[in-house]
Amino acid sequence: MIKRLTGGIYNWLDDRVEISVLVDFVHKQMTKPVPKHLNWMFSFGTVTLVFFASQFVSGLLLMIYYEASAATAYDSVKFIMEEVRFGWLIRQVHSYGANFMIAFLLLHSLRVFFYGGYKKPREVTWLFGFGLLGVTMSFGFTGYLLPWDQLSYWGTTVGTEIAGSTPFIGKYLLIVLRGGETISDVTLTRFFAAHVIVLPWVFAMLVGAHLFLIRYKGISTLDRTDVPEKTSEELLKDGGYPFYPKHVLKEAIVVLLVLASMILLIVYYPLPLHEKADPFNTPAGVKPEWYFLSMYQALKYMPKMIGIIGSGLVILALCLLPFLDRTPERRPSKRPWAVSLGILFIVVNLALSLLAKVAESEYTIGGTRYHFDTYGWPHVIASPAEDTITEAPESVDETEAEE
Amino acid sequence: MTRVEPRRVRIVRRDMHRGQTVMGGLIARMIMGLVAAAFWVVPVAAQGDASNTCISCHASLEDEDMSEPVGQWQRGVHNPAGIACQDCHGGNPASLVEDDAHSVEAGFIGEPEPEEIHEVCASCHQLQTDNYLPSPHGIEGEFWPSCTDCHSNHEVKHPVVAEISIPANCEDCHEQDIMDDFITVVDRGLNPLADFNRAAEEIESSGVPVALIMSQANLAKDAFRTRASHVFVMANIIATVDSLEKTYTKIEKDLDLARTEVETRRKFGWLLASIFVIMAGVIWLYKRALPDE
Repeated sequence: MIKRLTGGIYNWLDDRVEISVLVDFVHKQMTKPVPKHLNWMFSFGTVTLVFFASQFVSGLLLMIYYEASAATAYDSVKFIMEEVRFGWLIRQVHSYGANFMIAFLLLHSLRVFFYGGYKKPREVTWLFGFGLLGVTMSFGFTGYLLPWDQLSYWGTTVGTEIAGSTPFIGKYLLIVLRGGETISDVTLTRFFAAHVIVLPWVFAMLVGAHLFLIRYKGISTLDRTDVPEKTSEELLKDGGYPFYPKHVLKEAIVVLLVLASMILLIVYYPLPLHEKADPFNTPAGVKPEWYFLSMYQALKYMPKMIGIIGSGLVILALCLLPFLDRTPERRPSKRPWAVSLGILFIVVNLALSLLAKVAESEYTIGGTRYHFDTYGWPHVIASPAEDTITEAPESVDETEAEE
Repeated sequence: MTRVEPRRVRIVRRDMHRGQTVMGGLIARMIMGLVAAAFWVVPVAAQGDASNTCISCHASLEDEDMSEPVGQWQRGVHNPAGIACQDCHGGNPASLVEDDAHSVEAGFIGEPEPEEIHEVCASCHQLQTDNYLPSPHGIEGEFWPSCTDCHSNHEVKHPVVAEISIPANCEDCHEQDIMDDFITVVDRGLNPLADFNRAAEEIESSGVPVALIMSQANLAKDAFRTRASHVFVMANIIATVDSLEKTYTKIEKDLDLARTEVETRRKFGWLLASIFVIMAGVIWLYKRALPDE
């Protein structure tokens, strides 16, 4: 009965809009074989996509109560968290989701890098993916300001200052971003517009193109780029298997486990809403979000102009990676230089992020209190170290010279 | 001279250190920062400014009367609250020269006389001073005991009876029974407030709002401070604490409700997470059962 009914609907639609073309296309894509080397790391892209969907839905729900003006934004978020039924959950899913989305997008990018997935003939897929990374980080940057609390206000101040340091255009860029000299109501409304209208459309177009190319070109094998790509039959013969069901199920497992972890984080370590933004009161140790920390810290060690140009060149090099790295090998074991550079890039970024995290804070390490200065350098602030310093005899001459 | 010398030794070393930084110690700084950060680190509340010269100079003085207060201050409640030497003693904490740091122009008063101590404390604790002055310990009692006799001068304790030195200072004039009654009633008034704060902090970190509950606690605290704190008249203190106990019961109930909400959220989280994990498990089993292509 049901089969007859669905069959009837299908035939009715097919007579009018030729739905069979779409169904055949989807079927072909779902059964298209994937290479045998696909492991759990090949699910990161899908996890990112799921988080985008989750952000879209939770964002729509938040928009029902959110009011994008400096006078009301904070109170509306507080209202969502405290008064709206399950508002706390929706807001936490959106806040954590943003962090997870960026984290998994970075992991996905690293996976593509280490498996040589960006190489010929998938250069365009990489370019769209790189665009998606930029758009996702812009999502994070614009969304961060929306709760209008102290952390978001001053974090955005620091973030826009980095953009304002861009050579030649920095001054104008800063004004465009902020809508004036300082972060204000105007900044909030333009960030909101970018966050809920401009960026979602750009993201949707880029992700559409990215996914189409992934399905069209297929997931890359570990073969050299100077040998012809394997056909579906060859892939199957070589141990590959259809995309559906095995790989789809593998991705579903990863997605579910990641979601479970996020839910537990939400209920045990919810992200707080800080004090309402106060433009006249700068809190100590203001820092941008974690994914901007390494760049923020790197800029401290060099003149701003050099830092910004350097960062820009690194970003450009990453964007143009498929055109810079034209070696035919894809296997990580046969690309020692590329892999070493990749690992170095990760280590440097992690180190800079860690330094940025501890900078301008005080910590107790092994019972001794340290103040970490803006460069992340520790200074002992407890008295035992002061006593040690006074025992130094070598500077007595200079002491007398001072007198 | 002997008291000044160690300080100047340190100044020279600091300048050398700064020079090293400028001369290219950045990489060394980064490495050292990473090494330090690699340890298990425990964040602490913002503490006194490390560049305060009162602290850096006095810490190294040989005269213990002059150096000990630094350690005492570091252990006290004023340090994390950002109250440092100059806030009570005046002076210029940015100057590296003793005469400038101790200049009258910079408001340096040194050690206040016993009858002046309450004036120094009043610059922040006006309400308590207003209660103290007309109390039996105030003008009438010739300012004995003064603020520092109970609360200490440098290692200032949390203002709960258990931590201040009442028996040592009071037993000469007051009988032990009266002292015991005093401690009991003040504890009855103050201890629940401290408990509420601890509970609220824990609940708030779990994402459940407690601002409304704590506004009641703050009102109760204000009532205690206005009507019972430092008045030193037992009848007034007992009446105030009795009147506050109803409020305390209500706050406790509200906090219990908030705790239940935290527990409910966690149970909900575990339920949802368990469903996801079970679904993942079922899919994994199904995937394993699929025939090889």
